[in-house]
Order: sequence, then structure tokens, then C-alpha cells
Amino acid sequence: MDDIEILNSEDTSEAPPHYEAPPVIERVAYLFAEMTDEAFEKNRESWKSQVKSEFPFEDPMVQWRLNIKEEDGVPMLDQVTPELKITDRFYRKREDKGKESQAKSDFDFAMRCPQGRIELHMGSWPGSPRSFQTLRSECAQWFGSWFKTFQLEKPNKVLLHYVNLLRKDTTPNLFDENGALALGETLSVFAGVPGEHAHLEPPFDCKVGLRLNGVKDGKMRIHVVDASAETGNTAVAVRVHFFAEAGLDAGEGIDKALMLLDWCHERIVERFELIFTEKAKRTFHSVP
Amino acid sequence: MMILAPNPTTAESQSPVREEALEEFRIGQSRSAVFTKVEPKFAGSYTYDRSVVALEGGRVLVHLRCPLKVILNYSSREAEVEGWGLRFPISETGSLPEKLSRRFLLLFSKADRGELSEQEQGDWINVLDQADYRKFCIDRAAPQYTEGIIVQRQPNFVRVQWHDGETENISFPEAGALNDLQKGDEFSAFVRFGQNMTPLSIERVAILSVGE
Repeated sequence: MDDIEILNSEDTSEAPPHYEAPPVIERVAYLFAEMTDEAFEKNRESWKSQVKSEFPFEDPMVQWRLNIKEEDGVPMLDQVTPELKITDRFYRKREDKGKESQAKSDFDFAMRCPQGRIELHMGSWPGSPRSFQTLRSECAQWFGSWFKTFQLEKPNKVLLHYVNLLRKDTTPNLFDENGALALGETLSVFAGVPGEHAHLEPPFDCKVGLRLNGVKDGKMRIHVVDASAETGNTAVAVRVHFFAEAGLDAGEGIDKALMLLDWCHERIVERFELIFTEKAKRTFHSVP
Repeated sequence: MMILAPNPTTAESQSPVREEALEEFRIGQSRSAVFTKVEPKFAGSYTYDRSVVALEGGRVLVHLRCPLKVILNYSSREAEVEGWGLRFPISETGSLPEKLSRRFLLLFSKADRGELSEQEQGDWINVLDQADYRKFCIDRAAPQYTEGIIVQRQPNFVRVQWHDGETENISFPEAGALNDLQKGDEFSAFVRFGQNMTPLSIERVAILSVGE
């Protein structure tokens, strides 16, 4: 998805392709650390004042969370432990909002700070010049100060999450004149569905977890899911999630966490190349 | 896990689909369902996931002994913190931490002045049942003027005899305020004491007489 410098890779002979218009719409980097309730509340205001100049808009994320239990295979609401979760969230708006399509989100860059982790969410859009390096430089700026402000002892793990969206306005060349997404010709996991059929139909939901070698607790998940409901069912849309996670050992700090983020990015790029078909990747406009 | 996202946001797309994909990756739950609106069937009691209420920008903390219950009332479009006399529109739920701080401070202040109404008295009793009030009082206590003498200095503690004859080993980082003092120095300072009269902070140190 991006051109990156390969570090500690088994094969450094060939850099991954760089695309002009990859379908990635959001990249998220997470840093986790042990944090007590007390440390969180004690330093929350101080952290807010630090981030305010660069993330001027505050919009806490409210989640009313319900558990689902299964009885004889039937999913049912479990009323015992519903939970209200409020997450501090700060963001910047896109400066070019209004100059282009109004349908675009004005989300540009957001920071979420629940207890025990910091998340940096970076938006992208077709033609966006943003890459992993943009996100990484923000991580280098904020991870250390978050760690210091909350007086934490050691980081636990990092997680990188890429959201790719296949929708007519983001990847028009993957849709036919009737607006149908040729999923079987786009994602290799769907290309080999056995039997004869005219085309694939929603809902799509395919996920796989992978345990990776090379780092502590390295793991990955790829999740392809129908996102048509987000468009009000007016258009077919599919999200392709890539998650990669790596753990830190005792004594390792923020520098190591940033190196592990690089490692996670490399793993996601590798899988991106394998998951999307050659036909799909041609539509992302590979740069020689 | 189901995640409701009742408030469309101006920030990044709060896609419940995406939130659940993350939850599934992190905690390994496989079942997912997505609702984008609060519906009548979701009305009921929710456990608030934080156990500390911060006052004065985090300088004073109120520790809750048990999780707070927030009642979601679909028909009135309001939420209520059970037992706190705190009710607000569902759309304002994001500022619940600040609302709790203000409510606690208001009840505390009125109780201090003896101005609680009958209803507020009931709320305050409930709040005191749920909160560690003793710890709150200690955290909130102002520093006291105290005099003492340095009895012994060690790498990891300083032994002090207070003016009332009690001696105490003060460990770091609190003892850091006494770094400029030597054995035998008599000093004055403003000290904030915690449980068992353990110093929580020492400030405004002055030397009254020089020792050895």
C-alpha cells in the first residue's frame, strides 16, 4: 500500500509496490500499557490540555454495550452485564472540506484515549498523499508524551489496523455498469468459491486469524465484511480489515514500540499484496 | 458484544462494523450484531465502566466502591445515574465524567454548608454509600504547618521527629522535599498527611536551626 523501508525482513531484495490510489480509508495505530483507574483520572485533564492545540475538537465516543449469549444456538440479549463506555476522543477536521464532495467525512485525524491505550486514527481518501510514514511520525510525536504524562511503567504491545473500503466512489473500476461489485475478481479469498454461479452476493463475512513468527505475541487478522448497510443499502460496499499486533518485552520502550509498528505495517503490506487479485491491484494504479 | 452507536459523530466514521471488527480481534469474540440507533428494547440499566470520579482537574479523586448504574430511558430520551439525582439528555452522555464531578462537588458543598434539600440529602447518602469518602477527605485536606527535626538520612528514606515527639521514616519521592536538609536540622514545612498520618506531600520547607 505504501512504499516503506523494509527492516529485519527475510527478503529485502524487492520493495513492495506503491499505489497511487489504494482503497485504504483509515489507518489506526495503538499503543497499550498497564494503567490504573487512578493514574488515568489523575492525568486525564493534563493530557487534554496537551493535545488541545493540535487536536482542537473534542467529541467523546459513547458506547452502550450489550452482551449476546447463545441459548440452543439462538442469539439472545444478555441483560446481566450491559455496559456504558465513554472514550475521550480528540480530532482535527479536513481543511479542504467543502471544496470537494460533501458526502466525504470531515474526519482528518483523531486521537482516542481510553484507559490503558492511545489510538491514532488517520483518514485517507482517493488520491490522498498519506502513507504509513505520516501515521508513524504522529505516533513518534504522541506515544512518548502519552506514556510520560500518565506516568506509565512500560508499554505492553502495539496494534496496527488498516481499513480498506471497496465502494463505487473509492474503487469505481471494480464495479460493473449495474453497480455490482465483482468480489470474486477482486479478492483472492473469494475467487476460489467452488461450483458455478453467476456472481457473489452480500452478505459477505470472511475472517481468518494468523499467529506470526519473528516477534513476541505476533498475530494478525484479516476480515472481509459487507458494509452495504453503512451506505443505507444504496450501494454495495465491502470493508477489508487488516490487523497486526506485536508484544513488547520487559525493558523495551517507545522506540521499540515504533519499530514493532514498522513490523506490523510490513506484515499488512505483504498480506495486502496476496489478498487482492492482480486485476484489483491494477485499478489501484501501481507506481513503477 | 453488540455496540450501539446512537450519536452520529462529526469525527471519524464511527462504524459499528469497524468497532466490532476491532473487538473481535482483541478479545476473540466471534458473534457480532450492529445497531445504529437506540431502540426501545435497549432501555434499561447499564454499568458505567469507570470507577473513579476526578475533581479539581484530577488533583482530588473520588473512588467508587461499586460500579455506577446508568438508566437509559427511551421514552423520555434521557439517562439517569441511579441514586445520584443526576438526569440528562442521552445526547449529552459523552460529558458524564464532568457531570458526575460537578454533581459530587455540588452535593458536598451544600452538605458542608447544611443547605441540602430533602431530596438532595437522600442523594448525598446514596453517594456516600457508593464512594470512599474517607479517602476523598484525605486527598482533599489542605497541607498543615508542621515542625520537625532530621534524625537520620538514608538513601531510600529520611527519618524525621515531628514537633509532637512522633518519629517517622519518610520515603521517596515525598522525602525529596527534604533533600537540602542535613542531620540535626530543625525545619518547618506544610505537610499533607494521609491515612495513618503518612506524609503525602511536603512543601514550603524552611530551616529553623542548623544541626551538625
